[in-house]
Amino acid sequence: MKKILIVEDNHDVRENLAEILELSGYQPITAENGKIGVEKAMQDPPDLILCDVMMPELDGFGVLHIISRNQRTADVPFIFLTAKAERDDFRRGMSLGADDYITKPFDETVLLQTIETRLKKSERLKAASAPNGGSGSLERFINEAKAMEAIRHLSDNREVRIYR
Amino acid sequence: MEQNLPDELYLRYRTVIETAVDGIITIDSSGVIESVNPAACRLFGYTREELEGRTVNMLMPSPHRDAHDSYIQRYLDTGEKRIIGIGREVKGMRKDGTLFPFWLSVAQIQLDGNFGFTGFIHDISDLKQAEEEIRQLNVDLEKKVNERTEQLAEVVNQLLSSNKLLEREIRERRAAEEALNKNRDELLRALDRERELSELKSRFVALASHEFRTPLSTILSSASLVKRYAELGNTEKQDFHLEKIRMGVNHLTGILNDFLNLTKLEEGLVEANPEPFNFTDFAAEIIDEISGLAKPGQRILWSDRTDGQEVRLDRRILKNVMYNLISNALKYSDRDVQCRSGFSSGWLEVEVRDHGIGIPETDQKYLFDRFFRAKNALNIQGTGLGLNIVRRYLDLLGGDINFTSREGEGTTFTLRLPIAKA
Repeated sequence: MKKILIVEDNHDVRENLAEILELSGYQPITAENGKIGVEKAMQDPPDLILCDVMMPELDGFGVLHIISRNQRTADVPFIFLTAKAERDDFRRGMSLGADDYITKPFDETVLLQTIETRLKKSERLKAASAPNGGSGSLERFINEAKAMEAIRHLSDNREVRIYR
Repeated sequence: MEQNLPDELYLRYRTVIETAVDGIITIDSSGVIESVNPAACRLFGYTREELEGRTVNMLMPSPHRDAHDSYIQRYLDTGEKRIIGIGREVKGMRKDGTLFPFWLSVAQIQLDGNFGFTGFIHDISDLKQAEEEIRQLNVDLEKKVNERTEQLAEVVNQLLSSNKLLEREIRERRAAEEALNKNRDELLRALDRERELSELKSRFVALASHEFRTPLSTILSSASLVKRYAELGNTEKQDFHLEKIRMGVNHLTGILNDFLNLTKLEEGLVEANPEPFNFTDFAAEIIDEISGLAKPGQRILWSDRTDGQEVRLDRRILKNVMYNLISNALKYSDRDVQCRSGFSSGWLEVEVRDHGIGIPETDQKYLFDRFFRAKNALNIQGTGLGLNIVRRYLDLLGGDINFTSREGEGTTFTLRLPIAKA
């Protein structure tokens, strides 16, 4: 089950988000401000981060800034979910490297769609750069080829009957 | 004239006299002309024969003509030398009646016991003429100088008045420039103020926008969840979220009202309309209406010492203020809220005290700022506008508000209002 970190200071919104995600088959982790958000992300890197912008202690932009500098968390898909709906805010968020930017009030369908899309993309990217045999597809091919070889040797030491 | 002199010397003396440039006339003690030299004749325009033997005053104009005899007499009597040995400038009268100026020097002769006088006549006509010319020249010069001075004075005057005009013009220009500069400065300042206001407005709108969007998110997401739980058949959760929606709408309405009030206050559209009312009744009314906001077990205790006295204040605004303070007290604490009211040295004093979370010291100075929420209050719902509105209302009513607080112990707000006893 995919872990999703929710960083949001408003209690109601946070709780509702957690419920929505849970009902959709994800495992939500919550943080009530940016500082705690970063801590939890470092501790146990989630599969996706949903982050508000206006928060005490550390705001959303600050969170992204720190997350993206840490190797463990830099590749985690990051979605801003915020009431800051001006174009400048949007541009700032995207320039910092967010994967998406959703404004409040948010549509549940849109949110879930975006999460799904980002998770899929993240999966593909992870597979493409898998550590054991960095050349993922090549590895598979060779393995497959080896398997083909093995099949050939199946008939070694066995009586071969040919039917035409 | 016969002399006892050697001829040679006599001739010499005679030649000297005859050829003298100045006129030489000798007279006896009675003024009769004894001898004249050619110069004298020439000067006066007479012949020798016309002069010798006549009285010398024929050569003088009046008044000397008539007085001459007395001059001689006076001298003979007193011996006082007036002209003798001294000389004087006098006027002579020619044969043709014209006068001419000459320098007369007189010497006394004594011959054979007889007195006589010699007069030396030195024509100073030319001198006089020259003098006159010089004088005239001087006069002319003076006149010219005066004229020129006049002209100069006039030019100077013109210049001065022109100068004055210029100075005045310069002053006017400078004043105009200053006025222009001041205008420009004022405009710049007004522009700055406008810019500031505009910035504040933008920030305010941005903040407000955020404050609206957050509860809207709750409402929308709760609505989605209600739908989900309906499909799942979970009525408990449905009710839970329906309640959330209801509260969200209330919260939103609260923010909207606060926001509108604040805007009205900022634009100076709110007026205080004082009316007389009974404060004790007023207090009771508030407790009644606001009890709905109290938590289970929480009470509002009001100790009122106005003794039913009527006060003259804007009742509506005051109600808003009290609502705000008391609802805060209820919201940020779990225990009873204590209110007190009474008169104190010309003011109506009202106190609202709670034993709740208190306000951290570092946050205290920002408490009345727009949208300010103290850091320990962030998980409790609030707009951050209430106290700002309260303070503005109190300004409108001519009152003031203060508070004391300790984090974790509680807060006491004290407001004062000027009372015009009805």
